[in-house]
Amino acid sequence: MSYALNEVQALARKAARGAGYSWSLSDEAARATKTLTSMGLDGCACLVALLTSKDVARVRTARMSIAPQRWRSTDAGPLCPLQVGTALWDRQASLDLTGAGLEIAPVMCPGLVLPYAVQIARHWGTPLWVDIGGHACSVSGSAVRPATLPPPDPAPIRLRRSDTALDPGQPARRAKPAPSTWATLERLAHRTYAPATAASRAKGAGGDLPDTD
Amino acid sequence: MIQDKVKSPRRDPARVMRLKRLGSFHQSRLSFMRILTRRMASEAWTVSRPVRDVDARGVGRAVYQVEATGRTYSLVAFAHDLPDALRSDRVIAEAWDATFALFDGVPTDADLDRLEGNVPKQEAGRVSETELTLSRANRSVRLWAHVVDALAQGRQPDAAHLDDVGYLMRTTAVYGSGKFGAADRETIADRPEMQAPFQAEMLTVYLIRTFVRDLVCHMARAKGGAQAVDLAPELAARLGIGNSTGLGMAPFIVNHPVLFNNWIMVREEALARVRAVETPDPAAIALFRDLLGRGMASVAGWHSAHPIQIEKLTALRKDLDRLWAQVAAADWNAPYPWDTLVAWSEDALSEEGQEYLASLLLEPYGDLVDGLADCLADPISDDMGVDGAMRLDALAELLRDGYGWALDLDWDAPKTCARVWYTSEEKLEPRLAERADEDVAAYEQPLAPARDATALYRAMSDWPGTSTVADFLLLHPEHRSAVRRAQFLTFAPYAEIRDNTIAHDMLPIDMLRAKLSFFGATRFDPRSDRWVRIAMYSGAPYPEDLAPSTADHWVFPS
Repeated sequence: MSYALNEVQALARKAARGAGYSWSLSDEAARATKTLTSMGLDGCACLVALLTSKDVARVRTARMSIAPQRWRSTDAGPLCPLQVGTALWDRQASLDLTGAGLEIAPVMCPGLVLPYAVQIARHWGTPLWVDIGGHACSVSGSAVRPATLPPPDPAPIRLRRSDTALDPGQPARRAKPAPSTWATLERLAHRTYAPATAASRAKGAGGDLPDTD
Repeated sequence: MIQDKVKSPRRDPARVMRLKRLGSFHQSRLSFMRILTRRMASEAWTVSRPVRDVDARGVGRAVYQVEATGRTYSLVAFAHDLPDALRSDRVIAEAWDATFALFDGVPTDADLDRLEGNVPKQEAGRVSETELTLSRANRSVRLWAHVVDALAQGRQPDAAHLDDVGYLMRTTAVYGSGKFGAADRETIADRPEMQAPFQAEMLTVYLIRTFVRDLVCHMARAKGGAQAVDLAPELAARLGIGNSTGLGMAPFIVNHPVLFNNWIMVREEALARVRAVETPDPAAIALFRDLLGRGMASVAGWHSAHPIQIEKLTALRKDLDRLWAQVAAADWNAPYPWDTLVAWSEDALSEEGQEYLASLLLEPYGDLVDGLADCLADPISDDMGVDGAMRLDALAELLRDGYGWALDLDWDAPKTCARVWYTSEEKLEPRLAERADEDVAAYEQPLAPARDATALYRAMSDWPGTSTVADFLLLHPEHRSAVRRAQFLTFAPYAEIRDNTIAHDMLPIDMLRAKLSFFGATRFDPRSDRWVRIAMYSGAPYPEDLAPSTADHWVFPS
């Protein structure tokens, strides 16, 4: 079964919320998952790995200390990929990725940082080189090469500018996650739905006049 | 002559974006239905019916094929025999009188079989990337039987009865953009005929209306045999398609702030352009007066049993009488008479009348405003990131400008946070609860942007104004979406509703009507404070009569 990218985005948002993320970071999780999917990567599996991690509650609230070339976790635990990704984007105007570039302490499910690297590469018009715990890839504004995601385990990330031009490739228009992946997202999303009650059924959608037409 | 000079700027968002005013909006020539019919006529699209396999009980399938410029779209329709007891407008319904999908291209028999296995199930089925929309409709029980019986007996149905109901079937949802597996909007957004918002949905409804007319005639023939007659064209033309819209539409305009801004800003820009006309052409004045008279006749036929709407309709009719008198006495030799008329309306008319006038003023000026239809879509905001380099003092100024009315409210006061928007696990129906009475706060959807903006503003108060958004969000990531929305206001001044969307006295129907007016809906008939029935395409020409001469002013009965 294939899914529309908007279905992926909508379900990812609810699943992230269901796993305890704020709506703000759930919005980010949804966009990041859609971006990965649109580049032919299994964004849904990547998000599921984060949301079902036994450490998700701690990762969600992990805090960073930021120095120009090194980002660290304040408590030595792995960082949240959504917080790292958004912080990268928020600092893109002043990021110095020349030379050895930027080193970031281990990040949980680090593949979810890649959409933000894509966003920066697109904005800068410059490809980036990203090393995630030895999984090296090149990133442009529309592609990640090789088109594979790193393992979900916490891994340090290093980013720097690159000169390697990438074949833009064809955007993927549909998602084909494993059924179990989709089912997990649906299970998490279900936590955002209120239980059905007779009162809610009668009043919540406002059927105040009889339907006699 | 039309002058380049802009005498009046666009109206202030603080005035336009109040819920009471948004809930008084009317269709205009920039409404999505009218953009579609103009294009269909100007590009001479043709409609045919290659498949009609419907039995005497009205059960079966049909295909309506549209040849657009260089592309074919096909409405695939399934007609069912629905017991009366199962007929419901709610999302939680599970069966309908007719179900539809808009197919991108020409469906094969295998496609039709696949769709027959899924489309009648609606939300419980799956469609694919070759389908652009998924929809369903129910008969108007009181009108359907009357029309079939009359036609079967060889006579035309009672015109007053037709006008009273206004439609033979009403749709209860038209899903697009990736819902239930359909193609994403992004896959069609670069086609010229699909660039404006909701064009696939509007085409679906236009074709459904044709299907419904054909079906009622088919049923009459099946019942009456040789003595049956077809529905007279002049009667058929008066009928629209009904639509029942519930709470699900309200979150849409909150969740798509830049898109909603574009709709409002286009209309405001169009109005500003017309107000800047120094000396109107006599033909423009004549057309305006003609359409005002025809519009008054149309509004006279709108009905509602809901107290709020009865009051609004009464005000609108009174407003239109006043407007008629004002126009009759206007000095057309004075400069900028349209601007003078708008300025007069702001004191003399209710919001209903003011907004009716604002829409009507666009009618004579297609050459001036129709090109704005290209600015209605929002291809950019989903990919836009937060501006992390913005200083907090600049963000605070944006917040004061866009949400100033909200920043001093006590958001913990029961009346201020009285409502909770949530999604029920029952078919994911969107619902609204009283916070004090129902224990659903844990499921609250983020649909109170002003409350979120206030929380952001207060959280920033301890920070120096020279700090950056990036530094603030590093410690407060939960405010990111509120920052993003506030930053949209730098280029999208009409992005935010400037009212409390969880207040005790908030009327969801105001949000529904704002959106439906841009679709081109008429005959607003709220059935409670949270769902509304409307008509679409009332008066529109059917495909065989659609031409440049008929494509534009069909909203106004002649």
